[in-house]
Amino acid sequence: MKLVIINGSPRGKESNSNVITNWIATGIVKSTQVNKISAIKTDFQRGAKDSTKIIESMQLDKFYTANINTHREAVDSIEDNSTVVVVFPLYGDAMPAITKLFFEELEIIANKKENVKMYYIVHSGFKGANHCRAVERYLVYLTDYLGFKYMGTAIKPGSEGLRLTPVENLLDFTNDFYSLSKDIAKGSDFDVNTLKRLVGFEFPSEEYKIGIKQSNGNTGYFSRILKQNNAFTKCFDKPYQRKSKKSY
Amino acid sequence: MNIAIINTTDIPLTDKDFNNDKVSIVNTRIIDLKYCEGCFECWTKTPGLCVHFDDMPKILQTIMNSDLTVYISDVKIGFISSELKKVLDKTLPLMHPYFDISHGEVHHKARYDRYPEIALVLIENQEISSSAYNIIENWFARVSYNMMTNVKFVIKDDTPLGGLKNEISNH
Ligand SMILES: Cc1cc2nc3c(=O)[nH]c(=O)nc-3n(C[C@H](O)[C@H](O)[C@H](O)COP(=O)(O)O)c2cc1C
Repeated sequence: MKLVIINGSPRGKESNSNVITNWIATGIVKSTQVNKISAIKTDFQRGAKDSTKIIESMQLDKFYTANINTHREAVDSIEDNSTVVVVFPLYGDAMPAITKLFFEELEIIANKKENVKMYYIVHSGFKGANHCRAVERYLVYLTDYLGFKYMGTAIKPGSEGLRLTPVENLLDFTNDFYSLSKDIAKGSDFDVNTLKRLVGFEFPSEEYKIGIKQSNGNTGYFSRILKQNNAFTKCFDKPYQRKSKKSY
Repeated sequence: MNIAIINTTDIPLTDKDFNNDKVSIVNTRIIDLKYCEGCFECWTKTPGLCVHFDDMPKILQTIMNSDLTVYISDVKIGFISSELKKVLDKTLPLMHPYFDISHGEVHHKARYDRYPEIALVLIENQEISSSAYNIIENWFARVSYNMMTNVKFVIKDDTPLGGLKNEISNH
């Protein structure tokens, strides 16, 4: 089995996507049940491309779309019968531009590879999976356009804190992502119950919305960082306030 | 009505194409534009301004001076091009990091008192299937929710100019 993992975050290795891709990769290694795991020493933090031979019959390659120079190599690593897992953060209700560029580069292998399975994991800053549904529709279209097999999209809203949260507070998520990796390793669709757990809810509740109005939308998170950076007093600046056409 | 035209195709447009001093054009392929790196420093260090220097400020000022911003994009593998997506990702500093409710959902709060309406011209290098068109139209409506504004029109055309001139004269 050839497994290609694509980290679609512009933040590359410092991203929430990397936390997720590491869970997926580790989960896949676990689900192959090889007892040589420690010998393999999977270190997904190194290099522009991380390549690991898990067992004789399984090769895992990982690429970062943030590194444009490796896009072509990532495309070339997709062979007949490969399984591809693409993980990206929601940017403007779709994929980040750099990941769209990578998708455009996949066009050269459209309808040229046999039996390629595509799994997607999309995560967003906002809670409420509804934000990710528009791009989910596109991912179905894209996979069909490429002539690959669409295996599903897992949506994880509210991801911004993942990379900053101690692992022991993330055990539920870790287990859900391990469960997704088992599905990937088996080549089956994502388990619907795991997908539901990850989604949480589609739309925010009325209480949540009232809370946002009452707090003037201040979640605390950004205020804290603005204060740390001595930038809080400038937080409502309007540098591009409308000007007459001639004045810029 | 001021109209901003953000042309992300590689066919440049000029003022002469419109002959209308309310129209401002930016051809993104001939300026320096970097990809958003997701650092959030436009929210947390220099509020409203990207910390990475390129020509994006020109686009942001052109957008904010307009009443209608028209984005022109090639359609690549069934979606807007990465070039237009690059521009849209870098509009993040126009919003504020705090939250607000728009269309029954949580979105970022407005940084400015008003935002231009938005429109999209999709260039048909190959025929755009109706499902691809619907996917893009549905997604573009969501872009308008993020920007606290409305979609004026989405059209497909085989050149950046033909249909757009008609739309502009209608508005
Ligand atoms: C330019 C930009 C646009 C974003 N757009 C959205 C969005 O439309 N909806 C959303 O829920 N989160 C949005 N986010 C938040 C990211 O999806 C979120 O921070 C995510 O956890 C980043 O993951 P990463 O560390 O893997 O890049 C955006 C972030 C950036 C930098």
